Amino acid sequence: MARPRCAICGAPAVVYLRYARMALCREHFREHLLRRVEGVLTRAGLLRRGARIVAAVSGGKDSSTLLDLLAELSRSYGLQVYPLHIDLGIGEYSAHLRRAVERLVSRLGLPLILVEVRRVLRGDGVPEFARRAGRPTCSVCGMVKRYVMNAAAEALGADAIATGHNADDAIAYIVKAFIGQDEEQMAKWLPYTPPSGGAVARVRPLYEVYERYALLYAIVNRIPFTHEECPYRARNSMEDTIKEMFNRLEEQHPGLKIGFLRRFSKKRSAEGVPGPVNRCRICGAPSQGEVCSFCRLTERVYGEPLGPEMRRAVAEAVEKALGVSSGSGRGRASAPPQGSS
Amino acid sequence: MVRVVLLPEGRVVELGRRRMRVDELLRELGLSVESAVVLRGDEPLFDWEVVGEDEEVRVMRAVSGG
Ligand SMILES: [Zn+2]
Ligand SMILES: [Zn+2]
Repeated sequence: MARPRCAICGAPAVVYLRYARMALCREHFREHLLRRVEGVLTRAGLLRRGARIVAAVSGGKDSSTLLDLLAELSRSYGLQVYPLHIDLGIGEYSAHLRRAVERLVSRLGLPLILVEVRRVLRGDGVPEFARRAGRPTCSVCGMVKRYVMNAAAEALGADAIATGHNADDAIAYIVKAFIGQDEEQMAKWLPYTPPSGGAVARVRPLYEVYERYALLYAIVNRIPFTHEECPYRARNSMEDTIKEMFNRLEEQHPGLKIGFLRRFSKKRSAEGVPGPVNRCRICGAPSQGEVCSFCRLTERVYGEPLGPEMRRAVAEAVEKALGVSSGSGRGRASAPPQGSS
Repeated sequence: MVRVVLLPEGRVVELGRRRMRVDELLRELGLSVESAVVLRGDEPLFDWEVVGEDEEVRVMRAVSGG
């Protein structure tokens, strides 16, 4: 059978969207995903000139696709997009991710905010830190990432932190939380979580983008990314099984996943989701308790709370990124030039 | 025979059939068509495209941590 033509312009198609029963060329596939991202940003009040968005970019397919799309929107709408990469110090894996991110930002002409956890954690990467703390690697990793992302967003005075979570991720977390009847967790998985108690707002622009299409987008646009798996990633997790289940359902009922997420997010709002209420008395980061978990855990492992040091390192990374591009090197300085590709 | 390289882990699987459609190939691997991308070289294939004899394709699973 011949390769299909784009439903919009007739050019050779690169993708067939089963849920839309439509083949699209590279250009219109890009348009299609941009509309999805715009939808989320509009509803979050973020699609406006001067909105400052920190894009957390790991070097995997989702966040790399996201950054590429956000860079395009920064050109058309005047958003200020600040890519942030956290080098978690997970051996070769982290090195590959970092290299992918560096290639991507240089292609997009964006300055990179690069935070290396080893510099603060006394030479430890996240796995060593977790081992010393006697805690699961993934939970420590999540905690460190949240801490750094929020610190960077605060240093920048950003309106939101954008993460690469896609539709399949959201479904997996929602269904898992539903199984556990954990309403609080469920309410977190909306496209937008407003700021609360010092925690900067979160936006998930790929909320209506299927994982498969985030991957396809990265492939057909030759976006640098790493497809490697984290060596600490749990295999056959409940999330993976839920994803596979929903993909089978999607095969039988194209559009089921998006329909589910739309109904889910229509029914609830993120208002009233309890966020952190305090500021850590040591480092000032938003925290549930008097001392934040980063300060608490680092104090236990290294003998002193490293929150203040991490916040300084993040602020320096922000200044370095902005300084390189703006020449002035002030923390909340002017926007970086949003490059053209 | 169709040679399949499964990514990200790089495991190689050989499927005994001579020719098959991409969606059949994924089904034989126990994967949903929604959860993977099949590549010939660097080019993603459509579900209905046929993978021929003695061909090597790469299957990238979309579900992976990042
Ligand atoms: Zn087209
Ligand atoms: Zn603290």
